[in-house]
This record gives sequence, C-alpha cells and structure tokens, in this order.
Amino acid sequence: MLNLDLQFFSHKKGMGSTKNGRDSESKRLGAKRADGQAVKAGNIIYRQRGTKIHPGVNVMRGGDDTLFATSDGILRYERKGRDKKVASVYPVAE
Amino acid sequence: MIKVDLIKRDDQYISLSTSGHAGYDEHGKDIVCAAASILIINTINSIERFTGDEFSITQEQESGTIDLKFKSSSSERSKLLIDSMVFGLSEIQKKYDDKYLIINIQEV
Repeated sequence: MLNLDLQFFSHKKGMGSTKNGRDSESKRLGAKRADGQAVKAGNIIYRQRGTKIHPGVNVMRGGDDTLFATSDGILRYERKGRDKKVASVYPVAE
Repeated sequence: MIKVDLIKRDDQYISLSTSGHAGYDEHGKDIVCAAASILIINTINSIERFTGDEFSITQEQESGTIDLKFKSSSSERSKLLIDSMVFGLSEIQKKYDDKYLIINIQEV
C-alpha cells in the first residue's frame, strides 16, 4: 500500500525557495596600483572602507577612505610600526 | 506541473506513471497537489485492495514519481478504478488548467 501523502505532488517546504540568496553589489575594493608602479597625481591607489592602509608621503585620503596620489612618482607600500601599512609616492629623481 | 502518463493496449491499461509537482501553492497548502495525490494514491491502493491484479510499483516523492506496471494488463475492475481516476483528474485539469496537471493516455 502506498502511504496516503496528500502533498505527494507538492514541493517539500523550503525546496525551491530560500530565505538566503541576497548580496549587496560588489564594491571592487582593494589595490588599484601595485607596489613599485609609476603613478600620476590624482591616480587612485587603494579603495577601502576605513584605513586598512594609511596615507603616507604624497598620498591623501578621500571622503570614502580612498587613497590617491598627490604627485607623480613611484608607489611604495611600506610597514609602519607593528601592524600599520602605509602607501607613499616617491618622485623619480630627474 | 504534474504529468500523468497512461499506456493502454487493447483498451486495457498496462502502465500508469506520474512525474513532477503541481506548483499551485506552497507545501501544505497546495490543493491541486492534494486532490491529485488522493485520486492517484487511492486508485493504486484500491487496485491492490480490491482486485487480484499483479503489478510492480516504484515511487519517489521528491520528484513526484510513481511508476506502476501491470504484470500483464489491467482487469475490468482495475480499468474502472483507473477510468474513475482519469475522470477526476480531468475535472481538476479543466478547473485549474494545464499549468498544474496534464494527463496523457497512449494506446500501443
């Protein structure tokens, strides 16, 4: 005898629908220029939320914590103190 | 959508198979599913209880699959039970249209 399941022809609860499955638009954060790369004034160096990397020489922080170069030169990511990272731009000697 | 496939030979049924889900509403509230379930399952249980026909059967709820195959072919009593099931399912199909239930009878 078959079991008289009145919902035999129904998707089990939760099958085919989930309460998860949402995600926000990816913000493409992170490094936009690499260490040792030549950058120009105004170039975005690093997109971040908060100061994962701090502004160093010839680098400033925008309103959304984005780091950008304030003069032409070579980009360097350096360590500062025990656990801080700094981005600096060093002009190329003419 | 529930698909019901019946195969006949010399006006007797040799197999009954189903697949799919109604999808009319969520589990526990799907009245089309409930109606089809009672008609189909009760028909199969009635064949076992009220006729001497021998058949093999497999079922799997997740895919809504039931496969019944008569050893030879249905007796008149089984035929009447299945005809009654088809009549009921056709009325459901008429009322709730082909989106939830389709019946296919094939003569071989």
